[in-house]
Amino acid sequence: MAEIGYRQAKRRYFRLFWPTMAIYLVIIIGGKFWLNQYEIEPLWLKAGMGIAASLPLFVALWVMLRYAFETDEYHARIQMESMAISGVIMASAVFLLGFLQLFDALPEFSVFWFGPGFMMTHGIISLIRGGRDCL
Amino acid sequence: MKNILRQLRAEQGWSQATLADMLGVSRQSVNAIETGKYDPSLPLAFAIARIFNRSIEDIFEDETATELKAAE
Repeated sequence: MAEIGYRQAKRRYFRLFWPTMAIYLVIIIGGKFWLNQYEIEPLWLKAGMGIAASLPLFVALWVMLRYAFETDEYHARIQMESMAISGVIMASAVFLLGFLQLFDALPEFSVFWFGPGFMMTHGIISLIRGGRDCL
Repeated sequence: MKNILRQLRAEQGWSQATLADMLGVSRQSVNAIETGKYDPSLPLAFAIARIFNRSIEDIFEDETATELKAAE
């Protein structure tokens, strides 16, 4: 992926990011409704729904990375730094909570929240590093 | 890194957006360079120098070199 300039990179980012998020919401809301409405038993179907809900997020993460590679160097630095810092924060949290669970200091809990946690820390760090420039 | 980019741009009567378009970067990037918030890469520094027909050293001040000279 080569640098194509800030404006075009931003256009390409939003062109794929928002539809991906819309698909994600439809799958999450629709899937949850479907699961509650009908008692779905086959494991493969539940697994399929889980994978289907994850796919738009994989695309969103790839779009974020593509934007960082394609935008101008100043915005690329903000994006790369915030992705690296949020990655380190979330990996540290995973290690800490994982060990606390391993030594029975914490009850088992869902790992689902690490994904949104990464997105949230990435957003916050982008704001801290770039201020209004990250928008 | 200190620089005289804002001054050079003002002399030409260009807005940050105009210069940004000429350099192929965002207006925010030009602002970040002017305010010293961001040091450009060597290719971007060369592009800036080319636009103003100056050398990189004319536009950007090597603060370490200045400090070393002052210490001598």
